[in-house]
Amino acid sequence: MRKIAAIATLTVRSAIRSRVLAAAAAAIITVIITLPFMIKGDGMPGSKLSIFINYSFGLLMFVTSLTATWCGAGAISLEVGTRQIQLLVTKPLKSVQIWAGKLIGLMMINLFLLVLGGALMYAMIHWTLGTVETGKSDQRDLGRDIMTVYRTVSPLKTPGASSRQAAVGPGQVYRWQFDLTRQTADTQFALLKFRFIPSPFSYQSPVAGIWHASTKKQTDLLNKKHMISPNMTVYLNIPGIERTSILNLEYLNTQTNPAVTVFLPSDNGLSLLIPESSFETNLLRGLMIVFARLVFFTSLGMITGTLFTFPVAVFASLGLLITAYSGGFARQLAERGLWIFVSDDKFSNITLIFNEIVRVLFRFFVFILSPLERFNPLDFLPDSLYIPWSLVGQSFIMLFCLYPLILLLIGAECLSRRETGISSE
Amino acid sequence: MVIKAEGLAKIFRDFWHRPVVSAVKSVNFEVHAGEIFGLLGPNGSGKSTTLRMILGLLKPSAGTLRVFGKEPQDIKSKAKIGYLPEESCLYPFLTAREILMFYGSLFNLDSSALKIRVKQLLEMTGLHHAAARRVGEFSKGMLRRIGLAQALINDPDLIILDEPTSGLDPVGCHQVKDLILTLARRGKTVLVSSHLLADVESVCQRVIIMNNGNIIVEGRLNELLENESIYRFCVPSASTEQVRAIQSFLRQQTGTSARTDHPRKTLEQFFLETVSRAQPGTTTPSGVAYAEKVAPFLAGENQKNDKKQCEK
Repeated sequence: MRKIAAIATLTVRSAIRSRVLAAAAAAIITVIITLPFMIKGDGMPGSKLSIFINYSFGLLMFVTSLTATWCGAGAISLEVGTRQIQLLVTKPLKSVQIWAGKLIGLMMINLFLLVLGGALMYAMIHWTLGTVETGKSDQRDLGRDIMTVYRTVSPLKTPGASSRQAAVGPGQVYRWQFDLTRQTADTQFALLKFRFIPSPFSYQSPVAGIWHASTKKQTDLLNKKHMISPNMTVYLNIPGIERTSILNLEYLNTQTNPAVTVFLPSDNGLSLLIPESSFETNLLRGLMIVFARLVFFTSLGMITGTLFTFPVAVFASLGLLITAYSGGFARQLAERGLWIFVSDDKFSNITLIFNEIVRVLFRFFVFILSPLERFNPLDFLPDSLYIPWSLVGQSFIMLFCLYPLILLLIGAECLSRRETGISSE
Repeated sequence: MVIKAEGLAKIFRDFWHRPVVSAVKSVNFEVHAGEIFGLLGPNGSGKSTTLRMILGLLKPSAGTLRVFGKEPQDIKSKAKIGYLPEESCLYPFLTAREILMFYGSLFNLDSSALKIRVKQLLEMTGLHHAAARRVGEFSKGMLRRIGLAQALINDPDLIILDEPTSGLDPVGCHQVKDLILTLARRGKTVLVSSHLLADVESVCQRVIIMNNGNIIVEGRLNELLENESIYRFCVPSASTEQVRAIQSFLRQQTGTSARTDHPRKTLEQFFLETVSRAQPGTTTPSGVAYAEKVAPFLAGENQKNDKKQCEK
């Protein structure tokens, strides 16, 4: 253990004294501090803060991932290039110890950058809240909205319905039920979140309707007429809600002249948001997932650095990183190849072969990066959605323990097989 | 037996696994415990490749190689080896003290014992004034010194020195040779690879000379260099008449005329005497002090005494 600690300390020292850490910290500080001044949004303070959280957290994730991948790629390959590894492998060390020491050192660097970025982001959110030009009560409401995170409760499946998609014709009523018996947090309100599509689709004026909410004991939790524009996400506050009951929700479509049918799509049509936790703890959970992702990226970088020289390792690991951040683009390339760029199917044989190579390459990339898909805090934080501890736990098991351990064993085996003495002779 | 190579060969291959260079061709040699063994040869003769195979940095293409009776990659064997590479492979961002502390910590040395060793090695190599300076700022000579110090931090049983005196001034060279002899007296095995034949000649007991991947000469230096048919007599003091009489006597006895001359000091000896007179205990501008004493832990002196000295 002492040997691993010595190598980890050496790795941290190297990052500090070669100013890699300072450069990454400076990039994070610059991005997070300047971002609030660059965001305009739609003029609403709430949306500005939401965009800030989205962008700053996204950039924090990207900068730290870039640092993790770069440092990981250089950790072994640079030492082989400068022959420093020759002295290391002639000491009584197992290749697993070298690999683990480097990985732990880089994890410490990742942790420092994440803590720095997270603290700075939190400070900037509070500063932005303080500078919003609204009344004190509005500022308090805004603070409550932003600094509270919600758990999404989906409606129970309607008996007889084939899907959760709802179509409500003019004069018709649609009913949903939400099971709140398992909700334990003590709060007094919930938010009804919905978005609808009108039929005919050309109708874009506000649609009239009545929302009614009740439980067994509370008959009139919500009973309001609304004129709501289509294709926009709307939040309705349901106050005084009892948290250990079944919530009944009704929507009466009163838009009869002209007649408009309301469609609530199954994926993001309607859900109930229950206040679950504070923003601070949610941010902490988000940062923990990012930390687990960084360990995975570091391990990937180290594997490339063990197999290739530094330039090749950086190229390969940055390719993986860009693929990870490209969203569905990489998946499309993996499935369809270059066909996504062109419609002409009169390709030459060489182009077809190249296309297949691209597909195979991106399939490989998508396969390697598949563990990351489920663990993206950006799916939660900007929308103030609750990140469950179970997801944090799963991310740690997968990205912090399982995959790095597999990569550690592969990397250590590759390192022990590699002839580090090949250089000058 | 410390090192035993049988049919050892190394072929370097290209990306497509085609043989490119046959660096070492089926060599056999042994290095015994307690001897100072020289590995000589011109550039490209295969001596560095042989050293790297002994250290486990390269894998033999054929033959067997045993270090302390085990594979070169064996962790227990490595714990008994100290290695000074030809070029500096040290971390430039670490200070001299940090370098020694780092490599020492890889041998599971007790923290207080490690501190004592670091202090002694810094004093022995004359780098105690530069202990807090980063290695990246060091001159070539200073790099050799700190490299040597790291090779000795574990008090190794086998010391492998690749060009140990390269880049060192004559004082430094003399200290290294003294050190090698001291270590050998303690029963340590020293394997030296060098181009500087005078250095090898003054310390090594046995050598092999490699050329084009083959061993072309192997043997004890005395046997290889001694000309047994010629005798040399040294007379501490004699007058011109006495010398002539001796020459005449030898001519009568052997039938050939004997050559007479005055013994010369080597330039190294002269230089060392001059420098030691001019600069007793001084430090160079770069921070290297002319130390004389071999580190007590390497000389096998009582470690408890060292600890007391260190505390003082």
